[in-house]
Amino acid sequence: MNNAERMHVAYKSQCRTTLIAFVVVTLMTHIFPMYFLFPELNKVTIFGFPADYWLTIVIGWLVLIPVFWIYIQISEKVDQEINDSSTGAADNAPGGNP
Amino acid sequence: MSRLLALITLFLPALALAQAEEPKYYVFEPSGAVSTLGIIYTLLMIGSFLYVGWLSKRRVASSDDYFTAGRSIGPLANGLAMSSNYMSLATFLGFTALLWKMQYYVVALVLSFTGGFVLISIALAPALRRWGKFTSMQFIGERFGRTAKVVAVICMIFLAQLYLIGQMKGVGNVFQVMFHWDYTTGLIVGGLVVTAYVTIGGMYGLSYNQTLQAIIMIIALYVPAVIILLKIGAGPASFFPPFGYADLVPQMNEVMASYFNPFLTVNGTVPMSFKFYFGVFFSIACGTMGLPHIAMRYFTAPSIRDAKMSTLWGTFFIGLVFFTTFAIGFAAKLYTVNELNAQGLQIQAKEADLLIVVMSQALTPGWIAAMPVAGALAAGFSTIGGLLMVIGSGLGSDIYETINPKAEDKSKVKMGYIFTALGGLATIGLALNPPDFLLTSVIWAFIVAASTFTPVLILGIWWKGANKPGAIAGLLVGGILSGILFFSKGKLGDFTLIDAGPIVHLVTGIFTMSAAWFTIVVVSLLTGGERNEKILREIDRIHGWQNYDPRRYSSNTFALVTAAFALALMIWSAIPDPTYAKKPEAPAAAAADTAAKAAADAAETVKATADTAADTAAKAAADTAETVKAAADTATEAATEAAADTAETVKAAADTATEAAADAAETVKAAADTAAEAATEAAADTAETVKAAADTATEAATEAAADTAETVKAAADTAAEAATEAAADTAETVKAAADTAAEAPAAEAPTTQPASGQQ
Repeated sequence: MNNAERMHVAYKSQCRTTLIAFVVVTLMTHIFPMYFLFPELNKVTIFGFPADYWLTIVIGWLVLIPVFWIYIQISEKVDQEINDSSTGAADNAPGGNP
Repeated sequence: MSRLLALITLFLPALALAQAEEPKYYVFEPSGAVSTLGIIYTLLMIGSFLYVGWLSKRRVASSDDYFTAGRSIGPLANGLAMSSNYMSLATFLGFTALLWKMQYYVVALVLSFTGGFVLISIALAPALRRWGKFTSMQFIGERFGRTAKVVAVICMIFLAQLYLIGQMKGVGNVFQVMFHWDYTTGLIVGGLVVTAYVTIGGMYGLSYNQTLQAIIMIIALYVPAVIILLKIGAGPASFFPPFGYADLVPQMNEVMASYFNPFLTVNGTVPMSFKFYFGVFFSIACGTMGLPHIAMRYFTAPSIRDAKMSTLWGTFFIGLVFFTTFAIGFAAKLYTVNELNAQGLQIQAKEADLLIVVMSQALTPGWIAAMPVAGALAAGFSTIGGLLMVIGSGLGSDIYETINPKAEDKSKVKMGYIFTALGGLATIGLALNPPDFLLTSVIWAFIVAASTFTPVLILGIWWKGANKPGAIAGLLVGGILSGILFFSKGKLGDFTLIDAGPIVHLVTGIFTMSAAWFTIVVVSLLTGGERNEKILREIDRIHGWQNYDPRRYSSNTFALVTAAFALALMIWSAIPDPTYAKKPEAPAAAAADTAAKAAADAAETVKATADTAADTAAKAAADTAETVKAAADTATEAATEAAADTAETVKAAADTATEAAADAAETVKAAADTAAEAATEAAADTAETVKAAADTATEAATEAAADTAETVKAAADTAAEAATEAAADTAETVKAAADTAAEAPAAEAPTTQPASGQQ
């Protein structure tokens, strides 16, 4: 893979990683569509709490932390690849947004 | 009984209304121990903050030190500072009050706050950190020009004031209630303290103080929460308050079934629609992304990785404090329903904002009960400090730099001091007439941020097509719309733009942010997009590129799709939700209406219970009557059959007797005929003497036989009649007795129509 292709892949990875992470975090912390899709979850209990209530807090907080940690690792690799592939590269090089 | 029930049904609403006209309110009065210890804790805390501010002053040598703490704050300290910066007094006290008022819906709000905090780190912070300035306004200024920066600073001052009023009000409330100072004195003293240490110490002082404040907040909330939960019977799980109240969930469901219902809020009186939940994302999560004092903390991290790790720590601490607040809010709701409402006492907004202290005083020792006072003040001070720093840097650096581009670094620091102090004094002045609930103005601050900074920052970083006219137009549209809707509660003049019931502002956020986004994209495209290559190169650089390629981050298709989506959201948010078509009512009328509704509900419940009881009783009586009637019918049939059998037997005996008498008469008659023939033959044989003797004998025998037959027949008839009469009498007597027996139970159940009807 030449440098231009590396930059192209890194650019795509950055946009894709950011967009996916944005959507995933938004859904994890805004789980309300679940209430409307599965209203019966309110009648089931998990560890003594209504299931929808418990899932909302656990997913939106405790699960969010490791998910965000994974994102940090991925985004660091992407940033590193962007830096490595573009260092010394000429302006207007092929790559970028097709 | 039924009349009594009817009377109760008629008069219950009236009684409840009479009760509602003169409600009794709970008034919190701090105990001597809590008040004294609270003052001691507060003085120690204020002394520490001022000392840290004074120590930090020695480290400030440049504007970079003053506004970004030399970009030297590590991830854990920065995470703690981020959480205390974010979790304000409105969070510390206001969330408990909001949970007490709105229940389940607050879960959505809190998680949206947390989500927004993480989204900054994903979408904005790395690029802003690489840009290398102090504030979001500076980014806007360099990306879109000086005019855009001035508009952004005006928007920042508007939202910072909305945010600060709530915090200052909380500080004033705490001083007023805990230390018996009047509100104005408490507000001025608290406001001056925080203004002093932020002004003196700059971002160094603010960062170290915010770290200290986060630790104080966590301890001051966690320890009382554990004891409160243990005292109200939550069991061993109390030691982790965020999930420590599971054992009390059934009890809550009994006293307040709507508490865990995601489709109801405000004590079960307001239905929740999908649109409201959707509005939470636009108002809270997107608002958080745009808050300048939150973004500012990313400028203090040594690197982008450290900034992201700070977010990770911050997310943990924010969740810990938020969900511990939930546990106390849950306990407070149970406490107010079981203890206060049972005594006929209602909670007012002011007391609702102090529920943590109320609960702590009621259930924990004095030295612990005073902790939340210190925690609340620490929370208030940390957020006020962060916002004052934004005002100071926004005016002292951004505007001063615009007016005087050749200003020396020292004069920028000097201006920072001056404007930070002036911002604090202005906020104290504005907070003299605060809103009811702490969070009311804070949520509007989020909406203003979502409608101004968030779209400009996202599009400015991720779309090269965004340009100066688009950004200025977007800031103006978002800022003016959210400002108007804030003051008019969803109206544009006489036109109702957003009609979404009691919590209209969250839906307003969908409209205003979408409008700003749509405006930026459309105006930028119509004015030819960004053409300044220096700026375009900077956009590549803030994403980490060492070279420049104009094709990166330049997709107009992406921008147009999002603009179309924004337009659709604007239309959708403005369509009246049928659930909330009813106009908000005046508070007094609404309270009376609520009381009447509650009374009517209670009356209906009583009536339903009474009806059920009456139905059950009638059914039991009917069952009993039917059973008795069946027994009576059986008895009647048996008696009738027995009587009929008896009569038949007697009649048969009489017939037998009659037949016997007839047989006897025939026998006698045959004997008489035989005797007559013998006499005739004898008379014919012996002359007329014999004939005369024979005639005499015949006549005598005939008469004797006739007499005997009549006598026997008369006796038989008499016996038959007597037997028939006796049988008839017996049958009547038995039937009468059976009827009497059947009538008796039926008379005891007058509502049972079938029983009496059949009689």
